Amino acid sequence: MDNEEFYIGWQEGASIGFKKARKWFFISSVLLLVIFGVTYLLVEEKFVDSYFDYGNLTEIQGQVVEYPVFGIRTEREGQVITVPLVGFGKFDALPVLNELKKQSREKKFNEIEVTLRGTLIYNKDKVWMELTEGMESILLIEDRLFPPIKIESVGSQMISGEIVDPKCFFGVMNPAYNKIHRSCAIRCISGGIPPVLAIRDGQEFSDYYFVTDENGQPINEAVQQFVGTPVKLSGTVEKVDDWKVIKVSSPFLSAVEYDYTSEMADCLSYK
Amino acid sequence: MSVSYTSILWNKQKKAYDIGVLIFVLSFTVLFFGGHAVLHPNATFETVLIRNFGLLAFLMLHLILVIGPLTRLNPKFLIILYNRRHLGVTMFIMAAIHGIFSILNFHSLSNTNPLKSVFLSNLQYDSLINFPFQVLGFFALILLALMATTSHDFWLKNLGPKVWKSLHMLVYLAYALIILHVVLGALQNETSPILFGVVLLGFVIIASLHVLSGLKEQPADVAIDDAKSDFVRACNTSEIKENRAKIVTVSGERVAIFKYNGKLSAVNNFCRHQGGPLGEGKIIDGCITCPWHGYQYRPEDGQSPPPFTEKVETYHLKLEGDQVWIDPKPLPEGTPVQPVTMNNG
Repeated sequence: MDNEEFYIGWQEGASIGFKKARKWFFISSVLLLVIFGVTYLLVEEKFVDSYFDYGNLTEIQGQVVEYPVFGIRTEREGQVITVPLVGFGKFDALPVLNELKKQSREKKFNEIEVTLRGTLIYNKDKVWMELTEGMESILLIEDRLFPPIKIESVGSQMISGEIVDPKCFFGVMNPAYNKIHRSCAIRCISGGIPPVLAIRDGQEFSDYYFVTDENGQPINEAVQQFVGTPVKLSGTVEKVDDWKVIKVSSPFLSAVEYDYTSEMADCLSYK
Repeated sequence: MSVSYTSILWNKQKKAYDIGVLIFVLSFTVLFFGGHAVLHPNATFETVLIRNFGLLAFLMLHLILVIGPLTRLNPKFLIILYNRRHLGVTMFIMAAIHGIFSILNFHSLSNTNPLKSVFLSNLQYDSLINFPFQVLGFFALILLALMATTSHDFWLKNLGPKVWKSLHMLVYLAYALIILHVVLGALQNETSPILFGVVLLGFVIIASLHVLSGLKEQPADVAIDDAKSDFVRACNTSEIKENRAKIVTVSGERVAIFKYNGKLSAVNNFCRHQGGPLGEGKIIDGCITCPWHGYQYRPEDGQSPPPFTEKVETYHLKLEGDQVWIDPKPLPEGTPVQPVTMNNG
């Protein structure tokens, strides 16, 4: 007589030996799952302190600027800051800029004050705004004369960092840098969102530069292939309110030597 | 085992299995979302969701891949194998949530079709380190989708066991793609070597268990015949336990020689359901019963009892003293063969 246990799955019951094996497998799996989950939570890379105020619309009043990027210059906690403006999704807000030009008629942007409504994107001291409602974002245009904007030249510099798409980076997604975010960043920059060079200070990002060509014009197409990878850019640096701009000297990108001074995998340069 | 197709034939064991899978998924999700709320409050909901379901799918795939070799090493784990496809379909659902949300998050609302964007945003296909890792995940998801949608017995019957089995062996290709997807993607954003070590450990465990189970089965794969031989010696009757079988390899095929009620019969070892090893099964109610899913065959003709229609090849045996001899030439599936009677049966 063969008393050896045998398992048949379509029967209602199972013998004790098989049930024990199932219990052992289940407990071991859940235990491994918990150990892995806790380990992952403890060792995963820290998230940047940023926030996308999704679902809440905020009004901002100020002066429209076109340089270094389309934005609204306003006061925040006693400081004059520029809030760059982006469109819904992975697009720029240039249709709104064109509409503002149309609605302001002959007047220049330093002769009018506008009120715009959108969704705020925060990252420490930087504020961006998504013009979520498109043309409906323009609430009010009034006459007001603003003094000229002071642009301070800092001189020529070579800066190492990572080109990011600022809409995601400053809060819409988190994390939004490095290779894992590259495809999304390429889509955003290809959609007109102005590229930003983010500079690391150790583990944290600490400084940011808008990247333009030598005339201060958008350079989105040329930088796309270098988004999400470490780069070294050389160009003329300017300071405009709370933002810096690096105007690279040529539209041609080419790879140069590995940058041993950084943690970066590859190193590229504007020549 | 069922004559007609039903979506799922529920029984107590299957319910217990699925409750276990549900607890597994829910406990990780609660731990992951709760852990992020406490330790990483800045993480966005989409990021946590994408990571949660990606990791769940990755963990479940590891469990799925260890069940097969574990069962070969210890048949008690057959209870886990029986409903493995439930685990597989659940794993695919986890992977699909991860994939769909990733595509929506990273590629939608842009100037390009999201699916095109997966392939055309990052074009560094010539670089290993900068390779577009999402493409690897995309193809892995397609393979998992193929396996999940064909996991039902309807497809098994219509595709045939060999094609079905080959299709489902693609899980190893999917695993390779997923490992590359993780190493060239998510791990690139992490600085801790621990996560890389965990991925490596998972691979080592899966590979080791497969090697160990292969080594255990190797002796049965040594052919006992040559092309010219008629009958060849297979084993001694004492080597076969009552109602059990000994597996030998003749003419390149594994054959199971069963001993039952003082008789011996030989059939092809390959179950027509999912290719389970009939020789590791048992005679129950007069029928060879497959250890994987309980499919049954009569030992004397290799046919499933009516109304079932599965058939396996049978073989002629002869007995010289207590030595069992087998004719290496297989008879057509379902051919009746008079069982050999043992004198001391």
